[in-house]
Amino acid sequence: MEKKDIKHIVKTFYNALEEGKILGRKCTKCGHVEFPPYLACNICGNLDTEWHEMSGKAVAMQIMAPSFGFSDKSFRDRVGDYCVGSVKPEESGELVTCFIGVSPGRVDELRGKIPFPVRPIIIQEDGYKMVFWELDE
Amino acid sequence: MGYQVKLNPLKPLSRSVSIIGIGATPFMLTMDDPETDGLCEGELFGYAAVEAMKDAGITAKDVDFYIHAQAGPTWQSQVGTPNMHVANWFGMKGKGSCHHSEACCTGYVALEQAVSYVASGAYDIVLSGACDMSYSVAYPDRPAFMRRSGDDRMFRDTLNSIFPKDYTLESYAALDVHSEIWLDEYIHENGIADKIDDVLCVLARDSRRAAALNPLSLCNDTYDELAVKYKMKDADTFLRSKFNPFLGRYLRASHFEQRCDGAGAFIVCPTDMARRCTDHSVEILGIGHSCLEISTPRLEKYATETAYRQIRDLTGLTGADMDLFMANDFHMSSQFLAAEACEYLPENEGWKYAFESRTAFDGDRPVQTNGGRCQYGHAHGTSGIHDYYEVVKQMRGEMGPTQVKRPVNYAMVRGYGGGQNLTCAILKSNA
Repeated sequence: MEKKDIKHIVKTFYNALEEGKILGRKCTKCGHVEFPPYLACNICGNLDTEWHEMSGKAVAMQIMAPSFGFSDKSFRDRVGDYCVGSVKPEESGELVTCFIGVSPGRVDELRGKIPFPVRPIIIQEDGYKMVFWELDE
Repeated sequence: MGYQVKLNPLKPLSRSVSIIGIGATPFMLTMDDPETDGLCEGELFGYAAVEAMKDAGITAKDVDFYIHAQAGPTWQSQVGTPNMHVANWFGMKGKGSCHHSEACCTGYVALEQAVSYVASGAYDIVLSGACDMSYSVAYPDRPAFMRRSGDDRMFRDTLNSIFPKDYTLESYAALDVHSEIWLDEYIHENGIADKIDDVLCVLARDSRRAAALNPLSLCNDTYDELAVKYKMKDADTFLRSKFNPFLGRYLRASHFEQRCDGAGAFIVCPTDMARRCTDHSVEILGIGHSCLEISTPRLEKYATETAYRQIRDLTGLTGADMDLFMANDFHMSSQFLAAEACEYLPENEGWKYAFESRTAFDGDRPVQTNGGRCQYGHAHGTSGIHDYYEVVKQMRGEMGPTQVKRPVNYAMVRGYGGGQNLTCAILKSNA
């Protein structure tokens, strides 16, 4: 392997967010999308993946209010109301995330609607952007 | 719906391996007690190792190799090569050694590592041990007997350090959901939202009852005794009071780990050798192992189920065949969630067993009989060794007031931690 064979994965993901694009890596064998992007496929074990722009279609699979002891208070100060839980993008696996703009008071109502549709929202952080999810109502 | 892990089958060991000796210091807040203030890593690991060798009836000359374990040696001890920092303390100067670290799963991986070394045929007698000083932390540039408080702020930074910084840490959700996301699903699947506080408070009371009777435990008073101290009616009143606030959505302060200092060690050798040198060795039938990074929702559930399936398929034994179950419950609900996932308790009934005190040390399906991480204490990488200590002592019938009612011939030890490793070991008494 030479240096030129080592392409940026993490940096490419964050750079794409600056342009409003959300990237994963699609397995060239089974078609599973690794999101966020990794080198190889965690479903079939194939070692080759290629860049894939996420559709943005997703559903929330679990939702909880932020906890008193373990939530990040500075995050709430920056983004306002949010809840925590898990999201399942249509092309990839389920992962933990935050649902931005969702009041903790809505958890019981929303739990009854699982899986409910959400859409991505890109948030500016300190020197980089990150993707979270908001209700697609 | 969830993440289904498909692993290749676990294969039998090339030769059977057994534990022949075990040693453990008490779990302590060393710097808070004049009797223990100033104790440090080398001597604590040394005391545990010496006790384990004496328990096995061997000397340091008999040991071929030793394995050192610690969760976060840089955080706690400001060292980069921890096995060398204890190397001169227990008579093995010059012998081969190594170090490993898998956060709260370290002590469970310690057995897997030792078993692998012996099963491979490379060594006959291996010492595997751990020392963690998560409460009384070293300074970077002062002698080891001088300690400082490993306070909550330092610990939170440490927790964050187990989350991968490529994407997971930046989710702002991993730490918040981690301790309760499986419990949340379980509560709503079983319709017990109105009962779960009662269940967890009973579990805390029963676990504390065991811890208070255990001389190695951090806590030596029951919640009933604490209630008297605070002039309250009983343990239930105390456990629902402002002295036991909710830190999570369901879990109160008494349902989370208590950080402390301590060490432990064990000696393993081939089972045929073990049978010749002692009548109370404990055979390791195998150890399942699955890891899921912390961005995977309900990872504890899926990786536990996977590690359990591995060991079940290897041994033909199920959780129902076990006489004792250990869970590494650094959030207390893991006691019944893990026991259920490993078929030690019936599906969807784990919470009932806990609520009816059937999982207490004097119940009919005992779980975490030393009191567990929330009441016995949590010296992170060392806790797993203390769970194995408990199993070995229970199998020998040496646990005195917390000895379980029926003979412990088989035990299952579910290890958990390290952001996150899940192990599932089955141990069998050779007595």
